[in-house]
Amino acid sequence: MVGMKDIPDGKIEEFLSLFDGDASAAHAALVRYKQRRQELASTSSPLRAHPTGEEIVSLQGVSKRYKLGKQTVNALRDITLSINKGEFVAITGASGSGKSTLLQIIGCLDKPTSGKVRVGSKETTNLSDRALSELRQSTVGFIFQSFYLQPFLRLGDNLTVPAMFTNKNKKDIDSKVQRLLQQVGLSERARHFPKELSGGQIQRAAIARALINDPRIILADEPTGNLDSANGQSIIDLFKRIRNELGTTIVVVTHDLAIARQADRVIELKDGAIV
Amino acid sequence: MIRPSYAVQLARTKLRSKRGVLITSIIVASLLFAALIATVIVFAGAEKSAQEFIKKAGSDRYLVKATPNIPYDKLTFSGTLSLEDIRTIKAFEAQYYQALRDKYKALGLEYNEKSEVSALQPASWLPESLPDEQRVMVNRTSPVIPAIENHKFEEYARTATNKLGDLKETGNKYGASGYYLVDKSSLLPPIPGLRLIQNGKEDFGDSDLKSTDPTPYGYYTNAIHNGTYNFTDQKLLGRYLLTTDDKDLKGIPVVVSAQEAASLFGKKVDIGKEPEATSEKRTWLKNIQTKLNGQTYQVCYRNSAEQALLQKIQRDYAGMRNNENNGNYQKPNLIYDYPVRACGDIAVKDDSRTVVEKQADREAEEIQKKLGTYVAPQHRLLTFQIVGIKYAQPYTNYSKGINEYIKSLLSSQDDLSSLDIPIQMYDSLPDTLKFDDIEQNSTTLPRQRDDNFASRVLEFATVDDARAFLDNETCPSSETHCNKKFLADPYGSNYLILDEIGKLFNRIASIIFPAALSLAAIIIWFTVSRIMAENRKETAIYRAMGAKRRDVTCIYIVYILLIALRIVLISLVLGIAAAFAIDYLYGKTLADTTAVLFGIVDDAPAFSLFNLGSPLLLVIIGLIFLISTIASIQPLIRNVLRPPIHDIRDE
Repeated sequence: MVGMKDIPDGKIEEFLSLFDGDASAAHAALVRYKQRRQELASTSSPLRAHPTGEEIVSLQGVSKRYKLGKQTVNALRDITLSINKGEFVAITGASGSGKSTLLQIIGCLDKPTSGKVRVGSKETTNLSDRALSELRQSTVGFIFQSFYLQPFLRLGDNLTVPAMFTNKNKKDIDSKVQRLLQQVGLSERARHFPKELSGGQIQRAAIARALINDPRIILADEPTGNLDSANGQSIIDLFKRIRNELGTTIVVVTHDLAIARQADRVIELKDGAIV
Repeated sequence: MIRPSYAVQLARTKLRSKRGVLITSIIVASLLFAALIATVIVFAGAEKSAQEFIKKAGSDRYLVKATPNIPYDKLTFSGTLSLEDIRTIKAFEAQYYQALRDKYKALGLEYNEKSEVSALQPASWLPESLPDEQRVMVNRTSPVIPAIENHKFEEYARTATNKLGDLKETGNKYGASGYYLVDKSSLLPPIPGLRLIQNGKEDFGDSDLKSTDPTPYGYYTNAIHNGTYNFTDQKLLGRYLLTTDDKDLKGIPVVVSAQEAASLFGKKVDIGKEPEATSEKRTWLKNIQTKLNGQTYQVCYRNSAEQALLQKIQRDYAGMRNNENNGNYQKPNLIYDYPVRACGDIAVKDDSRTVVEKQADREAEEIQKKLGTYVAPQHRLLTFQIVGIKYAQPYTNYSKGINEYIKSLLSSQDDLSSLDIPIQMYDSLPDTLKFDDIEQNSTTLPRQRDDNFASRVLEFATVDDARAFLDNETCPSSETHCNKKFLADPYGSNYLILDEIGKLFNRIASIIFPAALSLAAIIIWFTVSRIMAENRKETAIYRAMGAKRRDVTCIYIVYILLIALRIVLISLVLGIAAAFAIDYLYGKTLADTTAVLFGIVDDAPAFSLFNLGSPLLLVIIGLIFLISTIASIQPLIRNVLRPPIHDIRDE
């Protein structure tokens, strides 16, 4: 039987305060929590990668706190998870639940306050800024909700930008750009400026840009947030295709359950913790 | 690291963000730099053109005019006298009159003490707080004052260490040569003290100024009527001399002003007044040079006794005219008349003196002769021959613009109110044409007669020598409290003036350069900071894509250099256009002005205010890049060190 005794000493009051002191509501929540953990332990767990795959991202006891004015925000609390190569993972949760922070920690843009993060074969916690940049360059492709294409660069040149920070040959980059544009169905638009494209086309271009350095992981933050459902679905289809054809790991932050359901695995965050 | 071509590509896209702010800043900064560039181009042009004119005029020498720094405040009496001064004057006065009394006694003459004029007179305007003894001032009508001042000067001259020998000793340390005499007073009074003879008649008109203009213009346009005849070394007059041939001189060689030459001979040779338009001045000057070279004019020199007689004639005639209807008027008993012939004797017209009066006059004359103070009437007909023309610069109004300003730079060093007699040409004259035997003016101070204290022009081999001499050994003549032995300034429009132009440029540059550079730096800093702040998210996206800090730095440095390049291009275009416009507006006028000032009317070089040859232009271009980079360092560091997550999280 679940009871308050499961809550560590000194934390009971804090736990009750989350439920405005309603002990029965707190109890019910604890029951649900225990049940959920038992379910997870018996089926495939969102906390653990598919046992058959090769692990590409691993987080162990990762917490992230930062100051917002005078308040300390616990963006992530004791997150432990593992993502395998070729997995399509959706991270969901309400606004402010820590989805984006989790994505940024996986993408080496942010460092955890505590815990360990491994991306590819590298433990990122103690890497220098330069090494982190190199890791991002070689391993990660970012896709943002607001696309962030350069407004004054033609589409073809926009795709080139991440490759500009590598030592790749210009000829190779150009042919790669052509191929990627073809793959995302934008070959005809290579000479166009972003403002001449639709939202869906821009996001496809952003995906193509994320692929320019052959990343092993694509991290997409609300990639369909600014799109209608048809365009949103076509982006998810594109992700699936990339995963299937290239074996790229896809991690998508979304609050859209319809999209999350199409992922191999859904990680739900609430108040910075996986539920 | 990111390849330069990629950095340029990304930096160029940044130039298109915040375009309004960026373009405004670039234009404002460019205007500032354009002002500097235009200043440099115009000054370089002015300097080069002046150099060409100076060379053409044969004045390509480093000349300095030095004058002994004589402490006149200690050698003359003025203002409130100290008790010591008063006692000195009183003691000297007692001696002076005692000597006079002794002289009368020795000559057997009767001495009249009432004829003594006291050297000091009461000065009631002096503060009552002063002791009574000190409330006095010098009486300049007393013969004691010039006597004591001459005495003081002679005392000073005995021990002075700023004579010609000292000047040579000092100048030689700097390799000076020449020591040409300049502006040495000739003892001839200016016209109308010298009576001009025109059409065979001697001009006995009064001595009013021709012009009532209170500015120096009134004097300078009529230089010959007010200017003094000075001796100047021929080597210094080269730019004005039309001939140096001394074989067939028909009179005293003289360099006169073009304006006066025109007024003296204009009607005779059909030359009008000085034209207003600068463009016509050159032709006018050429006409004067061509037509008046070798022209002669005559004046009558009359000594102090004859001047006194002429004044008496004027006074008596005026008195008689005014009293024509006055029955009680008593005519003077001795009336002289104007000479019948030009420069003839002054004859007695009417002598109604009594025998006793005549006897008294004769006795007075005898006494003067015995005392050695008698001056017999004397006159000399002098013939002058024009051997050179100089343009007398009218009153310069600096506020009128660049034309007047440059004119002042080129001409201000000449004493244009004097008429110069070239010493070497004068020396070659036969004695009959010279005026060496004329009476020494009794009011002439000993220092004016003493070549040891005359102004000298020193010639130096290099501008550095000249500058070192000026700086180390002399004060500028404008300095009121000078502790050095000599006062000196660059002389004439020679190469040293170029150095002066350079110094002036440095003075202007030392103000406008730092001001423009700091203002530009502030504008660039403000713009770059703003644009970088605007671009933070973009920078964070680059970082997310794998850009390293040095990649971002590289992009921004290229971006800043692209901004600087635009500033360079725009400021060059604007600066060159402004300088070109200034040259277009003033170049032609300046060419005419300079040609007139230098007296080079034929094949004068062009005066251009446009010269791109100054290395300072490259310095300015370098400074634009440097200032842009320096102004961008702080925002760049702030931007690059910022963790990208800050700007991504803001989303």
